[in-house]
Amino acid sequence: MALNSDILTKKFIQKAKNDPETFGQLFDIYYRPIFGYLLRRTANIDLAQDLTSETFLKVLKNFHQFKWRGENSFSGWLFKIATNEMNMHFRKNKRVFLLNPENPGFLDNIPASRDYFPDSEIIAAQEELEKKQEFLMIRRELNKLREEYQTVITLKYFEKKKIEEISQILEKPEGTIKSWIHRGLKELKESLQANETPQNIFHYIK
Amino acid sequence: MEESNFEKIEKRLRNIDLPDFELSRHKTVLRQNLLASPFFKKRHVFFDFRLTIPAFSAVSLIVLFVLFGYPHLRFFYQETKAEEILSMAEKAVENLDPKKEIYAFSEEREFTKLSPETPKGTIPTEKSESLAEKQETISSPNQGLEKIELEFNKLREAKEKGEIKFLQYVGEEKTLGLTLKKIRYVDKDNIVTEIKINSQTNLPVEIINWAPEKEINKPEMVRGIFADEEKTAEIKIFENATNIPKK
Repeated sequence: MALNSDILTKKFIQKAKNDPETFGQLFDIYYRPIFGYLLRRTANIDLAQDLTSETFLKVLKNFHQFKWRGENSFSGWLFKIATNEMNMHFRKNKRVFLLNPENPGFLDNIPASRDYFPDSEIIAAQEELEKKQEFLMIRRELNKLREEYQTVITLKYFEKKKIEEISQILEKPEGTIKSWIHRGLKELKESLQANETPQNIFHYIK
Repeated sequence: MEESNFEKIEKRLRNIDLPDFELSRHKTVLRQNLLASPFFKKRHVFFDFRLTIPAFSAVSLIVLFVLFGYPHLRFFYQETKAEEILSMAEKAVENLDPKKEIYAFSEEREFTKLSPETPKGTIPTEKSESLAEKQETISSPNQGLEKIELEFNKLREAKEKGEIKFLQYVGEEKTLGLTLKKIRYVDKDNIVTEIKINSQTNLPVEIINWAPEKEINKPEMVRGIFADEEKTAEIKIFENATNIPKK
């Protein structure tokens, strides 16, 4: 049976709290969206792996606190944890590293879980990521914006979340989300106009 | 103009070719680690077959005791204790030494001298005179002792008629250097009465009546219900003038 979010019912979630097999099924459904979100937010495979691990560990630790509030509530809760983990990481580790899509080793200076997964899959994933030139360029400009603007733009345009869902994930009113998106787009537009075709750029992640 | 520019950038963001893949090895290792984590192990220790039967039996006994046995035992114990305290208090009031100086703090916020053999009256509290000076200010007849006796008689009669529910010892309170034992009960009109009794002399020190908003239908509700002393204090008795609080 192909697993998808259609099987997510209140009963299923309740069962997953105590049953490892059911939790495993939930993990199978949500690994890709969460890893993908963290990758599209960080543009960093190693970091996305670490944050995905931290996110699911937090989910497991705090699962008993989760309360069902409708069909999107579990997904929203996961994205909220992932967002918090990422923001916490950036606040703790204000790193500076070279982001140059033309340099295949541009992530090597970040010690991360790459050491534990030294296989061809990572190399292939790295190559796949480096092919996404436009994404990397937009991501680089997005990373110059305030953390909130980066998050709302990523959630809305990359993760295709509705305003209502973003509001639940970030626990902010919908009006605030709309205004962050508006201001974020304005700043992104200006930033893109100024730096549309950069080559080697030192990039600062907050 | 700005809107059309936003449309362009929104369109660009929506149509961007995004990285969308997963790392199967990372996924497998993470899944294994999560499912083997102590969070699940702890929860599943009871499902070990060798432990299931004794653990289930022990848990069942504990649950049954907590659900049915303990509340009844506790209620019975608290009722017996309350009866014992009340009986000692009744005796203490009956045997009250007529020469003992006792003061009552009535709901009018006046101190009333309770010595039965002398004219009884009230002492204004706003002054901090000596005991002798306070006694000189006695001006109105005392009703404090009668109130206590009346309360005890009412209680005795109601008990005989079976109109008293949930007589309970509800713990101790330390105030003005005294240790007070508190008992509560509910009458047929759902009025809660709390009597505080000095643990050293067995004399009642304070009697409070109040009508709670909820109907009291369980003994544990008697313990948990809040008494608004400011509104409902009927009488407070002080056996020693030095204990009288200053306003």
